[in-house]
Amino acid sequence: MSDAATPISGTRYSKTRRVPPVTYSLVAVALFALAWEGFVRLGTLPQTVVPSVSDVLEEAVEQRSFLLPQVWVTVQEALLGFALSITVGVGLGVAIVTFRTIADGVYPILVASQVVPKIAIAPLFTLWFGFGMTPKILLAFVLGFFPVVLSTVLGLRSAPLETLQMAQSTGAGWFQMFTKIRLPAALPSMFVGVKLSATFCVTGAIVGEFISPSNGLGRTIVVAGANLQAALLFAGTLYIAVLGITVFALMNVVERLAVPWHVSQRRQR
Amino acid sequence: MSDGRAVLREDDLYGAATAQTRRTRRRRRLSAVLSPLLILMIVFVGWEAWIRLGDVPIYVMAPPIDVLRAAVNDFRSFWPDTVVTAQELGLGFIASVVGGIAIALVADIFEPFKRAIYPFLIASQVVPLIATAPILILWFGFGLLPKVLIVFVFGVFVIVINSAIGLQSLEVEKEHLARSMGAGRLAFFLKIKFPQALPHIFSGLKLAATHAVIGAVLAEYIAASEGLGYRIIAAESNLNTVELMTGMVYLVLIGVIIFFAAVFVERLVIPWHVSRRVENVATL
Repeated sequence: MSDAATPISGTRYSKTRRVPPVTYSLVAVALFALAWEGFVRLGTLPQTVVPSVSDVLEEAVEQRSFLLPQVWVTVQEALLGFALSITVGVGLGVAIVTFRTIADGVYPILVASQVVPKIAIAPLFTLWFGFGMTPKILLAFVLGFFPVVLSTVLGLRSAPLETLQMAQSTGAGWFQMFTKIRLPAALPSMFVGVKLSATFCVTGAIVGEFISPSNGLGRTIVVAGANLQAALLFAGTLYIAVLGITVFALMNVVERLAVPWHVSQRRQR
Repeated sequence: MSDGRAVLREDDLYGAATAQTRRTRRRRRLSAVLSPLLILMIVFVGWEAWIRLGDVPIYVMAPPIDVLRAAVNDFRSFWPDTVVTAQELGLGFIASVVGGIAIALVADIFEPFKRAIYPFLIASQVVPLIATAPILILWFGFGLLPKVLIVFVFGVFVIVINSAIGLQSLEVEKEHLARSMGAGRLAFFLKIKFPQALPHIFSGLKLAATHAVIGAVLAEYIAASEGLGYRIIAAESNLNTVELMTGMVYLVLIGVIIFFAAVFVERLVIPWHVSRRVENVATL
């Protein structure tokens, strides 16, 4: 009953085509928002801790001169952590693929370290680096660095063997083989890791702000919660959600620009 | 699938395609085990040396030997907090498994529901879920419930996504074959569709276990009066690095135990799949 459109029933096929899939989620969101607003207005939910949808949206717009600079602080932290993740991550990935000793020694440790909750490191960073931007940047780096390493290693190893052997037989040096064959073959896989890393970096920045609050969206919602400013809390959370989605959409655009051959292949499905 | 052939391929990726003698293969396997241990030992010794020789004050970093000693000696002091954290994890994780699989089943049966929640599932992967924590803490305070809910939120999305993928991964031909042989809907589900989905569900469970630990720790960092996360934050504000690192040791132990428990359960329930997968890991 729930499988893809069967070739036997043609009507099934046309019915699923008529309604665009986005509609369902928009309807669901609209219903949910209406119910929420209704319950708050009717007084079923206490207005002090559950602000109505209209209150939240109003606050989100009113406070934008306060909230937008906070967004910028969080973005800076995430961006610097992201830049660090990519630099170190790609470098380490290349080293792992090139030098067997590093691969044998470092790679298993890296994979095993994934069992450890990396976020636990955050208080240590706060202890060492205080309340500035540094602990957040480092936390973003710690979170975002592993997907880049893993995807770089997988991508570089996925280079077609025959192409490499052909290049070697025609006298290509290691560097030529790397830049012309290995790297382009690795790019699609690397972008998967990079996209994941971008998301993790935003998370790392926000978590860092939770633990050592100084500035930024994370700090804003923690303080708003402590002051029982429910509307501001929800508005800040809304900003965070929009930030996360924007980063993801942006990374998709970058991927489409950088590896168009692979992404368009995906669109055919 | 067979790792014997993979040896040649692995060697090609590193350089010249030479035939591997049995001795070099044995040497490589030995180095594969020893090298990580060697590096860990170097890190351990280097850490200890840096603190002792560099006269690093105790409020910056604790030497590893002191941490290990404290971890063993202060067990009785850390145990209640470990229990609290384990409670939050256990309740939240079970809730997310039950709720997550239930939601995935509903989504599998009722297509409009699946389409409706799909964007939320995507959003859950790109929006920092920790942002829901202050809201839950505002509503439910500092007790056990908000932590359990945060753990639930962290775990449920991963489980729904993986379970949904597993449930829809059944080839349609198998369903047609089962129907043509007279399988009822429930029998088909229990005997074919659900077992087929189990590998995906388990990989979702393992992922969710990791996420759950992160959720519990974060919840305790932000708003708690007991638990391992609380002990770590308290130690941080007292500049007590020994206690901080000890708390982290216990936390890591919990994470490792949970992961291996999940692997163990998986091996019990779906031994046929796991044994196939072990080979693939070896070739990586």
